[in-house]
Amino acid sequence: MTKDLVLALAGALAALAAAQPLVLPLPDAIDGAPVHVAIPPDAIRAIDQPTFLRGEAAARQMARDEPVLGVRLAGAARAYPLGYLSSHEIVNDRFGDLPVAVTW
Amino acid sequence: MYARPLHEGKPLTFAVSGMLWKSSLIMFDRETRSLWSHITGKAVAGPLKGMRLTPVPAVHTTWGLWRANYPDTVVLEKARWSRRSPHPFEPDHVLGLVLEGEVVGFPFPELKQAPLAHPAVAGEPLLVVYIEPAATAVAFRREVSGRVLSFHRLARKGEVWQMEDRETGSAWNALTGEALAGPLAGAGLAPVPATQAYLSNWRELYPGGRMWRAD
Repeated sequence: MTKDLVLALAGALAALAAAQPLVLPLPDAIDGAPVHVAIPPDAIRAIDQPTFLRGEAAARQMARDEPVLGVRLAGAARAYPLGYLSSHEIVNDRFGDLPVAVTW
Repeated sequence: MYARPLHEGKPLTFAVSGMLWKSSLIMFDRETRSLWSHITGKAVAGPLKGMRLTPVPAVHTTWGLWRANYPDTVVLEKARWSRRSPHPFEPDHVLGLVLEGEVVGFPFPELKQAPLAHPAVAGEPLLVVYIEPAATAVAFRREVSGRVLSFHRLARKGEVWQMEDRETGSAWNALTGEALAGPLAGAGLAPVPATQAYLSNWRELYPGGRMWRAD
């Protein structure tokens, strides 16, 4: 097979895989409390590639009393707006060598 | 907030399952499709059931107070369509922490009466600081180099909040736990990971947990 053909097939397979619906285990109850399905998996999309603003651009995006989750790790300080987080619920991020999940 | 553990050499990535349990959303990890509670940090179903995530300290606060303490901070960029957030403050909020299996909630109305609280949790002397205008509560261990400190005089100084310890009179940043001036300048209080949640959600998740009351 030529390299181009291999790449094209790989792309098609990836697209097919992405189109499959996600199937998760659905327990009836956990620790005696019921589990309800509210929406499909990924209907609320976690953020996997967060981008950040600094300085003036950061100040323009935010209101002074806007709630944030603040994290100081590995010499970096980052704020995650809570109202916005509630639309995504989870940010998969990394501070230096430490991968973290910021959740709301 | 949690550290993402490695699974087969790569960090787990978490996503929203869409399932509700005890009024909270359940996460799943893409790698094994195990289900996780984001409040307890425990895998509740799937191949990794029983595994616990390591919590990392993070502070619920306001942008203004956070930036005043960390002027070089960055902020997550929002998509263009998103709206501004509502005002902070929440009488029905609690700062919840779990230390060595002991569960304690600090309801904001109780912290309002004692904004520098000195509880013992799992036998450890802690400090819980409450900054009402910023709807912010943080927890620290108050033992520094073998010495247990006690705190008073919480006050706003310009854009930041400070407090003093009674033992040496040193001045501390009340949000970050760093000593700014006095005999202990340069020291730091170790933060204790804690969560801010709705009181009703916290009670639902930890029905047997203790609720702290101001004396």
